Amino acid sequence: MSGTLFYGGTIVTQDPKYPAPEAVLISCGKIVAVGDLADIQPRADKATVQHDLAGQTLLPGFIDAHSHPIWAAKTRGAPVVDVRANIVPTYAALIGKIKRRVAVAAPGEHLLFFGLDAQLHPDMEAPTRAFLDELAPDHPLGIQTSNCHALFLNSAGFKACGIDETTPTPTGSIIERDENGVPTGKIAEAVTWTALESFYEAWGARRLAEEVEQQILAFVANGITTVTEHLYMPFYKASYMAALNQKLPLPRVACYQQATTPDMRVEKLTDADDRLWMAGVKIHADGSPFIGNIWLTEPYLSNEITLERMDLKPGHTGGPNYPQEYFERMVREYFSAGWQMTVHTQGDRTIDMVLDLIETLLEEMPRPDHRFRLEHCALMRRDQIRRAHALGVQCSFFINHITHWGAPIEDALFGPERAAHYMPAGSAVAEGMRISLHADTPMTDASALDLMQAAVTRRAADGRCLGEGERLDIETALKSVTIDAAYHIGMEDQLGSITPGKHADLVILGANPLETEGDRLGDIPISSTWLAGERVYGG
Amino acid sequence: MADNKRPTPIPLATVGGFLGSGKTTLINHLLNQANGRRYVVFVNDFGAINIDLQLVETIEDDRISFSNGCVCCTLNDEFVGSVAEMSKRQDRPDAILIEASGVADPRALEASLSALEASNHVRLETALYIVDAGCFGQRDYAEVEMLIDHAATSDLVLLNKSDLVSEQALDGLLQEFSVAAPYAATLATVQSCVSPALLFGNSDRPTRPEAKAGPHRHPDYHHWHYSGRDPMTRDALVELTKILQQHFFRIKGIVQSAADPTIWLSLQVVGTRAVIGQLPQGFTGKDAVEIVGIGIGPKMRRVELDRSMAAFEETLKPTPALPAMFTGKT
Ligand SMILES: [Zn+2]
Repeated sequence: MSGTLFYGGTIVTQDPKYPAPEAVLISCGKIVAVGDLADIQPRADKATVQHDLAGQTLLPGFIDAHSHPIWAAKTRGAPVVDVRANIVPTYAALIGKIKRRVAVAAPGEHLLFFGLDAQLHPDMEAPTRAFLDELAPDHPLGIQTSNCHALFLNSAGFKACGIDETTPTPTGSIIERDENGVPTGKIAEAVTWTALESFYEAWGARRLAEEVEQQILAFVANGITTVTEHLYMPFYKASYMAALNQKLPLPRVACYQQATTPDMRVEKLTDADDRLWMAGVKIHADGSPFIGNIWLTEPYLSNEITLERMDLKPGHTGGPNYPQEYFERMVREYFSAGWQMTVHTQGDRTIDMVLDLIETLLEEMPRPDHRFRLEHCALMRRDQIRRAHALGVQCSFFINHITHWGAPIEDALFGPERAAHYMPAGSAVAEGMRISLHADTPMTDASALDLMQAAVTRRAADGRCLGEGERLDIETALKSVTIDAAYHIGMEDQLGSITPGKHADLVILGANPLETEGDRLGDIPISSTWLAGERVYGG
Repeated sequence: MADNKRPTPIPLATVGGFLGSGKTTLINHLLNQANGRRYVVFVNDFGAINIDLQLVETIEDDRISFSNGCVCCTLNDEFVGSVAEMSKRQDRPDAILIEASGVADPRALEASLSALEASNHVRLETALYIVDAGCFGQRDYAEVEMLIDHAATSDLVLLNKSDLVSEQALDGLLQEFSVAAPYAATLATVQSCVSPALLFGNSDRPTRPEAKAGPHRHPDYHHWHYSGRDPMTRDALVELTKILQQHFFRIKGIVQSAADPTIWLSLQVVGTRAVIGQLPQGFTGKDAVEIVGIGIGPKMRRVELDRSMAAFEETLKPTPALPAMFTGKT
């Protein structure tokens, strides 16, 4: 098999052994040589394609450390109607959109709307089952919140999902009910995601396959060559195998299987070419700051958004998703089986609970390189960062919260002091951590450059900067979407830098991010993306 | 002004809309009735533009120059470069309009525009969207939704060809758009007639009276000017902006800061987008407060505005210190 020789541009390897090489040779899906053009040119043969970078910048392909590709495929794209606030600005406009959709629905059609947002839809009221029945008496209808964690259903929707007054609420989930136990409209956490499956199933396999392909193309068009499936469910495997069999440019997928009980069988996925593998187990310790189910030491602010739109009580400090003992049993089970653990934690009290548990587990069964991951880490405190680092715990930050919800985080939810250290990526780096950044697609759109810009500027949509002291320099931000993200998924010896012997996953950018203004990183054009040595996007 | 070398950015507006909604009519108006202003219009292709051959001076592959100083260019890869070049020229354009609806990659255009804005070459004034009111009722679901989504992210929406629907239907449409696109100003028009003042703000350059204006052409905007001698805090300016946004689509102003009189604040408002910035160090204005507003429609709600302004000015007055005898509770 022939290879490709890259030269004639800037090469940013992310490997200190190769600081500024002139050329890179790839062959058979691997990086073969990195160094001076004069040394490498002789190793190319007649079949080697000479790729002149023409002044552009070659980097290792980007790694999104926490994403949900199949879920994104299901959640996005027709027939799901996108009602996120950047498109449908108010709740009144959103209701108008629902009415127009219902008016053209085929008999029995499942209708789903994605993107209701208590923080960004200024006139939002929580839709009740009765209200949704008025809008759509005959069709199963659901409105999912933009943070993905909650769903509002009408009566036909509850029926389609098989949830009624006799359904027990699964541990770790929420089903709001009246005094007779009849669901009143809102459900949250894991039960949301199982309920939605009945919508996705009703739309058929073909629709799903099309949307999976769209998602794959969206990742590679953004230069992303490795993603994670951070809520893997066993039936996802068919979609991934189909994508590979069809030779779609599926980025490498590190899977973390979702656990909601202590007795789940973790699927053993491996692949000789490192395209799809089981990396560990994912558990939700708490929920979303935007619906109020995270566990805090200091309460939420009290104002119209928290009290009315989010329907919280004054002094609300939330709680964990699972009873503590149940949660610990789950973590213990999968940790002792040797899996890498990744735990969704947003509130600082949740993080206290998880760090306590990790400390206990490590005393009971010491494990030198466990890379226990905390996901998102919105309100992690400095003392917790220190403690986590000492325990060998890794932090992956959902930095796009700042760009997408920065203003309400400061003004409505947590106040300026906590906002200044919200998603404390800068503190984590200052304490010596190797961090990763993520977009949590489908919650926000996948783009490593946008993540870098968010971390470097911490600038919210309205222009304000949330916590100047937590900003990253561009070099660190770049590591957190390449080599350090590879470290978080345990693949730093195969991915994340331009090093001989590693997979030939590359991206060519129109400009060198290290020489770009922080607030323009997101505008750098992606010229082409290379996965396992093949060009999968661009020219 | 201290910073004389730095040119003011060129006002830029984008126009979108379905085929046949009236974008071309708008462009033709602008080019043919420029009244002394120099407009540059970027379009996807020249095919749709009705060129008045008597006005044409030169035609090149990607550029038509008119004798009145206006220019029409194709929107191609050189867009950023040519705008940057134009802004440096002696005869720089007064305003730029981009017909963006047929662009293959809207994200790339957005990136180009924000790059031009960041480098101070242009100032994004208005995202305009034109809806054909006449055939809105015949559109299918997908078209309506696409149209409404675009309108909702625009600053100004024209319900064009409004003469082709009944008054009642037009009221219904205005109502529907006020709900679906609450942050956009909506204006019923005939033949895409919209004043450049609404699109670009007021240019500093005087214009000749609009002699060729058609019979339906009464002004679609009104003008308001305010000056004050007392500096204002940023918070007070935020409050004032909220009041003025009830009355005007477009507001511009310079305000001396009450907290630090060496600082001058700038105010830019288009629709619901308001930006308060700071003028370069060393700037001094004539009056402490200088604000202009442009409102949609021929008439301003003068009484209401005057009342709100009087109430606002009242809040600026320092509260007189109470005599000591009244402060204790006896
Ligand atoms: Zn996630």
